Amino acid sequence: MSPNIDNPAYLLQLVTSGLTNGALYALVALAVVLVYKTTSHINLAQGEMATLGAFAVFELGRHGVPVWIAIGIALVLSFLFGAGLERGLIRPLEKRGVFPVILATLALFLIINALVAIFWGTQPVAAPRPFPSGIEDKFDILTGPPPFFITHVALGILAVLVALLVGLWLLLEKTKLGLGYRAVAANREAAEVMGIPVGRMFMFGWGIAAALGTLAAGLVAETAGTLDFNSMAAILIFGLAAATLGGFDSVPGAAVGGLALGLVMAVVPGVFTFIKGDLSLVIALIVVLVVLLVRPQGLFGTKTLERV
Amino acid sequence: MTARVVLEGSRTHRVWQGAGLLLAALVVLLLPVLTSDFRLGQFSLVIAYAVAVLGLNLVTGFSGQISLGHGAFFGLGAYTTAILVSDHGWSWAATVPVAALLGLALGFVVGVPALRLHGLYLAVITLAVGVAFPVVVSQPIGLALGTGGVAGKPVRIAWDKPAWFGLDVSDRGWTFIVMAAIAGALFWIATGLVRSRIGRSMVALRDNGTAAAISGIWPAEVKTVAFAVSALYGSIGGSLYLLTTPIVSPSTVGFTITLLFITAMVLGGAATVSGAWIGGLAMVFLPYYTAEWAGQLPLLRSLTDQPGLFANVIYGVILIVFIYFVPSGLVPLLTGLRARFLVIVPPEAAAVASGGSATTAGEPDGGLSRPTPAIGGPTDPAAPHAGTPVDTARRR
Repeated sequence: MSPNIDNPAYLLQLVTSGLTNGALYALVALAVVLVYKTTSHINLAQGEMATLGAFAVFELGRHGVPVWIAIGIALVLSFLFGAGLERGLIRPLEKRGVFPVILATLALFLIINALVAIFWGTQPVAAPRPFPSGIEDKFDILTGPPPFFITHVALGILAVLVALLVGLWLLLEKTKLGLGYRAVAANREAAEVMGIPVGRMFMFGWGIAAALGTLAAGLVAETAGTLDFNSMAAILIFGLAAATLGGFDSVPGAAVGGLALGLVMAVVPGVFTFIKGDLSLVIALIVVLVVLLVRPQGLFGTKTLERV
Repeated sequence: MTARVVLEGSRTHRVWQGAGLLLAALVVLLLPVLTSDFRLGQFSLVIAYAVAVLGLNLVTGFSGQISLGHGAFFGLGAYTTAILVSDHGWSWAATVPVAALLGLALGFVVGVPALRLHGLYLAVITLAVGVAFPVVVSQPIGLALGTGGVAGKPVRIAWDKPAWFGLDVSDRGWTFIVMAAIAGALFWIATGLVRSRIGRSMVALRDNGTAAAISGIWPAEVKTVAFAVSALYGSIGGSLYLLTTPIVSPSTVGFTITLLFITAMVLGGAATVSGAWIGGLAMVFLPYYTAEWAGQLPLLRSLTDQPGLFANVIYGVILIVFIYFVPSGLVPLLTGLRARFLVIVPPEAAAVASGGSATTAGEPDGGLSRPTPAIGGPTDPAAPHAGTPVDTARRR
């Protein structure tokens, strides 16, 4: 047990850092879920595509584009890239089942990972910084010792997550496009019969997911301070774990799952200090195992029945 | 052209088989005499990788379960051997059973959730195992076990050629021959396994799990056995790896090697035993020649100082090309080619064929030599990659 267990500032610090990281996992989980809902596939290259998007922001920034405009351009490019990949690479494999699609996304993983390393090198680069991230950019809440404060970056990340959730909700619930997307997610054949362009909804899901991933990778780089070609490998696992926890077909589930996972991974090593080193991946693995064995559909997911 | 039909198990078949084995043995014995130690090192690495890929073939190709954590099993074997040899003074041979047992145990542990999960969930969980393993190795818990952390665990295994061995080969050559013998035995066991009751149950579960369970196959047993055996092969592959390379580090057993194992499996043919050899060859020689080739092109050379990355791009492209155009891999393609000249028919099928309509030149084996289905379910029987003509007549 940690000796600081009864110190409110210490606990609050754990919780905020957990929620900040959790918001990042939630973003990746959202991307996974948006692909899964319509296509029933998991894009294992989601993390690498996100890294590519973050490097696009970095490259634009290097050429003098202001960071928020660079992010906007990268989001549009990511959307087109994701939608194009779905149409060009994944769709033809769609009928062949789960495994060929997984293999194709693994191939994408290899290719994008290597290309990013080839073009931008294997050494970390300075991350683009959308939020003020100096040592003084924080709100002091408890003056210590130990002090408790919330950095602008942490607030910014949480704000992005909330804004995204509201935006996604509006998009999916209040627009015709969203209605079509939900129809395909609910029942593909029925949607097709009703004249909804199912293929375009797949592309839409992939595109939105790719854009979300780019945003997530940008924020991951912002919190880490650096960006490199392997930045997203572990984050993808956390995102998948969060999506498993929340349920693979649930948008709110992804957000809750991400935040919960972030909390667990901050609080467990923070309280039980006998855990030495960074075992966050192991914690994620255990979370996934427990969820899958106890409640395979996740907290908010729908249970699927297999007809024989 | 009429193909020659040979009954499986007949004398002619045995002669062909014997000739093939003799040829393989000759190649293994002659390679150390004819080639340099450098090449032998490469071929030894082929053996280590082929054994590991074979494990993946068993679980994914034959039993249809996605495993994205094979690098972890490979790493478990390599680290077990490295630690026991380096820190505890064991001989290499003594560490192999330990590595194999640990691999079997870890495979069993990973295989248990596989009972309740399939497809994507299994992918997620094995992926997490594969990504977590190299990280755990470099953490304090790994250091306490003697993994050497990020820098890796050096290990020195040097074998001298025994005096009784008649051929004039180097010590490296002797190691190669021993490795080849071990791999030969492992491949022989795998061939027997996939033909056994368990192996046929694995295929049945892959093709239609529900139907197989109804027919009296116990999925729990078969699936966990498949995972455990797969991990055992991966683990022994890792032990063999240390006979070729004097160090194992977290980057060696990272997620990339899992991806390369998967590419190698698809390349050779997932539902084949011998495809693992093609996979192993590709894993060693493709990066080697890619690096050489990239080093000669000034444009590519100026891009990066790590030509190995180009190989990863090529692996990815190969994977996509094979999923699209050769989903069952190279071995079924080659078997199809062979079937133009020589067709091997099991006796039961021959009896059926002669009892029914007479076999024609176009379908001498009654379509039996059709390539094995690709992973993830049977492919379209009329797929254009089928090396032999498909007997549509019999299906009507």
